[in-house]
Amino acid sequence: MRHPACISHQVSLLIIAALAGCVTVGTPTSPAPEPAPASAKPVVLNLMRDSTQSSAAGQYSQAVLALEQALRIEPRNAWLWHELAKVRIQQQRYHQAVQLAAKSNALSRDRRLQAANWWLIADAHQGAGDPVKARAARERANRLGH
Amino acid sequence: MPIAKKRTASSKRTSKTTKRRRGRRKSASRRRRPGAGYVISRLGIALAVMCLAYIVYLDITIRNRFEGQRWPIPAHVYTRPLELYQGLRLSRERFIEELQELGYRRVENAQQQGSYAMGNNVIQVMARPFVFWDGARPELPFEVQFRGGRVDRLTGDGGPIDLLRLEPRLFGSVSSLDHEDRTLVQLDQVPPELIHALLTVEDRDFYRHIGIDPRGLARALWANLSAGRVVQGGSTLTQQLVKNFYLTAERTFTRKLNEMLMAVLLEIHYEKNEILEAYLNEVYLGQVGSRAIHGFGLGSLFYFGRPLRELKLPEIALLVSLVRGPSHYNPYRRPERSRERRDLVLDKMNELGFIDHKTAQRAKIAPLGVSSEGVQSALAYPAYLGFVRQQLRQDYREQDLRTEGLRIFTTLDPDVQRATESAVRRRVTAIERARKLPDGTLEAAAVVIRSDSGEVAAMVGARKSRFAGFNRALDAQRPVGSLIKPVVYLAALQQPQRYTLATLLEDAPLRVKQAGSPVWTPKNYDEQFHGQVLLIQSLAQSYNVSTARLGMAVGVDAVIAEMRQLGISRRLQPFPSLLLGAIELTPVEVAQMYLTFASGGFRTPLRSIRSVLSQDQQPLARYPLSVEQVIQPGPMALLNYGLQEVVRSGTARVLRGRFPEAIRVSGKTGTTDDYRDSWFAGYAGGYLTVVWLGRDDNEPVGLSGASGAMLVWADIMHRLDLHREEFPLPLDVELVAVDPGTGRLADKHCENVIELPFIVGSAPTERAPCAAPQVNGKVGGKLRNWLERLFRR
Repeated sequence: MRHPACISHQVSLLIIAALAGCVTVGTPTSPAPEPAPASAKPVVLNLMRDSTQSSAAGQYSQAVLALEQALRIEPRNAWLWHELAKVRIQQQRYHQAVQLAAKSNALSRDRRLQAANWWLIADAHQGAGDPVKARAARERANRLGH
Repeated sequence: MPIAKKRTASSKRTSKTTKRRRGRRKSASRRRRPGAGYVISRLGIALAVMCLAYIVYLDITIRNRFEGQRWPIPAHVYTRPLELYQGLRLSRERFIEELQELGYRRVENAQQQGSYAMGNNVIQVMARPFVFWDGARPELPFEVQFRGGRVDRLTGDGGPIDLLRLEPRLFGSVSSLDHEDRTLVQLDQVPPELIHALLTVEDRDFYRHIGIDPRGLARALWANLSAGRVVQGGSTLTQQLVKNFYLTAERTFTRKLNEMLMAVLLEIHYEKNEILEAYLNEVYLGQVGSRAIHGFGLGSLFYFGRPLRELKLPEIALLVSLVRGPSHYNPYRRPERSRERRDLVLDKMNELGFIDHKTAQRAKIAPLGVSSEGVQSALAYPAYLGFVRQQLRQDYREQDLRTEGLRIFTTLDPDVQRATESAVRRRVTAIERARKLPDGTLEAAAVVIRSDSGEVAAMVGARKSRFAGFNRALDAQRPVGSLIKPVVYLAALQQPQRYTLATLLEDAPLRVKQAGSPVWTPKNYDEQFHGQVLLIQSLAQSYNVSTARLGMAVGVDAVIAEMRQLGISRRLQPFPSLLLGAIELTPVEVAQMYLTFASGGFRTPLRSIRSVLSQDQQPLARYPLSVEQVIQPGPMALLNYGLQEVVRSGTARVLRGRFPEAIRVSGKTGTTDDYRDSWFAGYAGGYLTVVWLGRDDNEPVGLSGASGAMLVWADIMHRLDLHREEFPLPLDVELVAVDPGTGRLADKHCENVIELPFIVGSAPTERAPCAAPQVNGKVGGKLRNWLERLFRR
């Protein structure tokens, strides 16, 4: 079972991401720099939008298809890997969610994105019934200051 | 329901027969003494019963086969679909090539499916409908504009299009046991002209006869007698279908009788159109190797490279003319004879009024129009197909692959495949000539993979890549030589407190004693010892002795464990010689191992299949992207830096300058004893490519990794669309300047300073002799900033 607090954090992150057009995750406490778009290619941004809409409608496999298609266009886009991890966690495929978030981290030096990934990893571990790893991941997220 | 009606009719017949039999029995019982007539009548009855039984048997036979799955349909294998979007790197020429490979026809105005038209700066296309994994895409008119080698604008009827997929191309099949291949067509997909042409020359009374056609038979007999040879067959289409479908090819009276009986039975049970549709799919139209081309659906793809419904009259006439004898009228081998026969079909169609004289004459002027044999074989990718089959066998029964008509959608990119084939062919020939090797002895294999998804884009299993045969990419197990070394260094770098890129290694004589084997004394390729060398230099220069020493310190078992993590599942013996690559792997296995490096430490299964649909287009299985982090970002960044050093200053430095500055190239050469194998595994811009060169008989070829495989590798990579995005340095890795002579901290006083990445906390603390003494062990802020800028570029 997933920890309610983690779910709410995840949800709030999702909402923030959605508000920012799935482009960046901002928190009120951090001085928000101009959010850079998640991609310079309109086709990738549109696929991300499609994926978010599919996810919201519970059509996770459609969401995955859109993101995989986007990743064929921009395989090194850390945001896309993060989004894919988000869909996997919604599908309760926690192990893959952790791995995909880790891949997103490997591709980014953006501390906010990294923190978002660690929150997501924490949530996935919690969902998979591993509170120890979840706590460790939360600590990593907190250390990144976001 | 026609079938149900006919069944009722036949049951009525049966009840009448029964009544008759009962009547006879009654009259027989009145006679007291059985006479000769009685015996004869009894015999007659027995005979009639036997005949009836036989007919019932035939009846069951035809119905069973006709109502079940009529043919085993092999799994059909497709390339990736070309995905078009604004900004895609794709030249206009390349796009046109893609359309032509898909059999698109160039026209003035693209109104019909499978056609395109060229304007000033724009290409207008009418894409065919296609059922993809995620649903059907209807036929789609669109326009593309190109600028600077990229797609600039993509518009449809309703305005700009974000992303569109052309249909993938069928390039192979998992053939059935008897090697029959076909793609089924339904009657409504068949152009009416084809039916007209077929009935004209094969069975003009088809819609009137009852399965056999005495008039047709008489006509044929007359024609044959007057010609003095067999010029016409008297068989109806139904008989031909029965013959091919149920019977053997032997020419006996019994078989002919069976054929006629079964033809009539078939006609009793089934509608004319059902029989015609079965005929269209059954008919034999040609042979490629052991693959028999059956049915007009596959025939059309095979001879013209486009679907049946898009064929024009002359092409249709040609296909129909093949029915009489595909090898006799083979358009490739006997174009004249083939043309004559085609024109005869056209003339006869005109005689019967299906087409007017002018249309027939116009069609007769047209060239045969078959796609060239060269094109056909170039579009077959036997090595790739072999890999697909191997992957399919993990999830499907061989029987299902051969019979269920699965539609397999692969990741094969024809553009990358073509680049790979051509690089292999040209460069291998050039090397052979330059090195004066005997002609045709140097063999090759190459695999190209998308680094982050593990999708196999191309595979070549022989220098003559079009011919099926020994698939070296998949099946040649060869010693890997120095390709193994990065694994040894990775095992070391996983222990940052013990090993860094700046650790000094001893490149001096080494003797390893092992129980039961001779003493192992590794040597360097240049037959020299290099004394104290930095770990990164030892890797970049591919020194054997220092690597062996490092491997012994880390432990052979640790290296094997690392290989397992990287995706090598084969059993490995823990001999020290493994540290220098005395193990045999296939190019595909090497690719799997290096893929983990290329994808930033994430093990990603090699994938050649994206999805599988059933014969009736229902989604069956999808192979999603999945990754598994097996190397932490820190050690991975250090190893990648080391493999870039191979290209910057090491054994692959020839590559430096052959690629734009912004594209980081990482790679490793591999050479084996007596120069028998030449390897290069390297990655850049989102692609990992592994190349092997050598001889099948394992004789020396005199090539090192750098003088052989690496040249092929560079030719391939040059032709790919390489991305510029790289893995950034992880947050826990810092850049520190060191003195290359000592591996200690350097500062502005030192010369030849090199900057190396270190996992935070593992950088050297001792200062080099050239550096000014300083309390704080780190490099000055200014220099460090400068180095970091340099590194990130």
